[in-house]
Amino acid sequence: MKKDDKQTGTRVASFRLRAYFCLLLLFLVAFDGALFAITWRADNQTFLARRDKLLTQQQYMLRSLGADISNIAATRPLGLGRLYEKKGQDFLSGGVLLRIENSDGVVYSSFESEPDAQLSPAMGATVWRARQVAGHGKMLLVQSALSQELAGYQVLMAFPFQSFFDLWFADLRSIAAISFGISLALAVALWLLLRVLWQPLAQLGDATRRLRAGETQVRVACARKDEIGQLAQDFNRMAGQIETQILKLQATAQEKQSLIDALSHELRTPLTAVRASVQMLQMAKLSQGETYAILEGLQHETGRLQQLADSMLSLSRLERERAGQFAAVSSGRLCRRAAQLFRAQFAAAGVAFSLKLQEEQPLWGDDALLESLLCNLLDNACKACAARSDSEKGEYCPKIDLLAQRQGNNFVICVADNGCGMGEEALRRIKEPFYREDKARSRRTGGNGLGVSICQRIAKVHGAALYFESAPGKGTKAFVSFTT
Amino acid sequence: MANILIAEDEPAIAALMERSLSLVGHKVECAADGNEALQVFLKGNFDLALLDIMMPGLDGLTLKARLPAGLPVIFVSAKNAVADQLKGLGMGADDYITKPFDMLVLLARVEAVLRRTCKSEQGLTVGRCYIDLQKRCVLVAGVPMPLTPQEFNLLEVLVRNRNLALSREKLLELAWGFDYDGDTRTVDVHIQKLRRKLRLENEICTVYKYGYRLETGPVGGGGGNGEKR
Repeated sequence: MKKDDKQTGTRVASFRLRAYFCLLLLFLVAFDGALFAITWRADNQTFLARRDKLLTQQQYMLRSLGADISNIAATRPLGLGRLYEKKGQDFLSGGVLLRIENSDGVVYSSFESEPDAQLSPAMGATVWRARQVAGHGKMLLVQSALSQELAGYQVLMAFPFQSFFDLWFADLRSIAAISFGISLALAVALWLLLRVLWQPLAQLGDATRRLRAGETQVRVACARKDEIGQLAQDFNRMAGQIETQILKLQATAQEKQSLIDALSHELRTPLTAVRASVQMLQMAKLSQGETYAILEGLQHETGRLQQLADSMLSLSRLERERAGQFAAVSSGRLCRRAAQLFRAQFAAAGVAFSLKLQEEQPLWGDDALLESLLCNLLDNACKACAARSDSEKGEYCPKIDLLAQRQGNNFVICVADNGCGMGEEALRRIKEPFYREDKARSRRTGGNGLGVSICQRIAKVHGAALYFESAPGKGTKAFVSFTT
Repeated sequence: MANILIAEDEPAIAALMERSLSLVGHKVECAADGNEALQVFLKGNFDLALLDIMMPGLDGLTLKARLPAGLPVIFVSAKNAVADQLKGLGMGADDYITKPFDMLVLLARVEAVLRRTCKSEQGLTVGRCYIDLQKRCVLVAGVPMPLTPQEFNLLEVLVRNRNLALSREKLLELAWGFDYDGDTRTVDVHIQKLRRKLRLENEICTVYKYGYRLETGPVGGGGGNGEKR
């Protein structure tokens, strides 16, 4: 689990890193490439302009040199050496190096060392090269082969070119510095931007992991309206649903658990009696009367166990069966039938019973279940009346009403008695399985504390609400409210 | 014999507890709830109280707090969670028995508590014998009768659970111990010896296909059992 978490974490981070580096690379290549292309183009133009200027100058100088050589060669061929010398000195004062070659070889050179460029222009043409010349830095070497009467002459001139390269390198350096600075700023900005963009995703990932670990109340705070905001909202909705589902499951499980706890506790009492009775029969020397008394007790206890099992069975069946064989049930017929079943019992107990059906309503439900719901409530009412008449001798007239009426949108069936009533605690706990307000009485009357629980389940299956109103010593009203 | 107060709201269980405790010679009073138990306690002089925990009115734990601290109390409850037992024992109860309980276990635990509080019976007369449980000796018609320790163990088990039939296996377990690796026939042999030595042929009855029972008359029994017969 933990290892898994870590893996997911690094995967997310590595994806983010990859996205970051790809974007950065793309950005830098585009930006720096463009910057350097522009710079190169500008510098190249400068270079060409400078070269053209120097070449023009060279042509001019070459023409004058050529004219002079032709002149001197025609008039005083011996003065050629001096001419070369003079021209060389002249050029050198302008920073230009000169080398003259003819068919005899090199006749003049102001180069301290031979340049390493092998330039061999065709006759009458000029070639150039930018080269490092020892002691002078970068120079533009221009070699021309003279033509016509001066054929065979090769004139090499070297113009100082270092300043251009210095400028160029300075340019490059500043461009590189600017590029580096901007790249750095870009990298930082991109990182921050990605982080901001990524934050909701990271939050979502974190929330998902926490949800998986069972923290169902986790939610993502994201007010964005974009796809990520939508995702966050969907996530929140999903988490909410999971939470309600889990809470519902927990509540159901808890309810079941408490029912089982209560049941196993409820079983203990009859079991204890059964076990002790059996041991007594087995071990003690008993008179026949005693034996019969114990056997009778045993029968009573097994009867209780049987009843408990039946009630539990109907409870669990109600839990399982949902709207299975539902059909339209006439409320009037239902109430009249339930009343009919109890008439004899009411008469025997001296209960004044009245049936007041102000309204009839076809109900959608299970006939038998609804009948058992009403019978349970009527039975409870009857017991409550009996309890009051036990404790209150004299002018007490037990009275039970079965009413059906409409209350707003709801159709309500009400069983009202003027029996012993319930206290606040009993009213609160009456729906708990096995809750009995008076255990001794309920034992006598054969209750096992499951009646109201079963009623509650029946009402729930029918989408109806069961609730009670009661005052101790005054009576109880039980309502079954059907939504129509 | 000890006077025992039972507070138990389930009449069937109360009746059975009363019956079994009376059989072995205790005097028992029952109350159906906590308040009634308090009233019964004030009227009598009790050596031990057996209290149910969940009762209407006053519950067992509250009742225990209201009773004098010197009165030994055993809780008998269907609440079998360890927490409940610890709570009961933590309140100063001497023991805690969970329902459903074995009758012999109930008797044994009652006996153990009574022994601790020195309310255990000293001895009793059965037939022509006086059995002194304190000194572990028996007088037959006033004359001491030597018994082997094992014979006395068996006699004591019979006396402590008198009027109750004990199976041979149970006798073996109670008088010889769990780890005794003997035959149930050993029990028969020892029973024969006891009958002969103590002349209890009529009192130590054979229960057909089950075991033996020491029957005491109304004098030794003291409980309701004798009167009813």
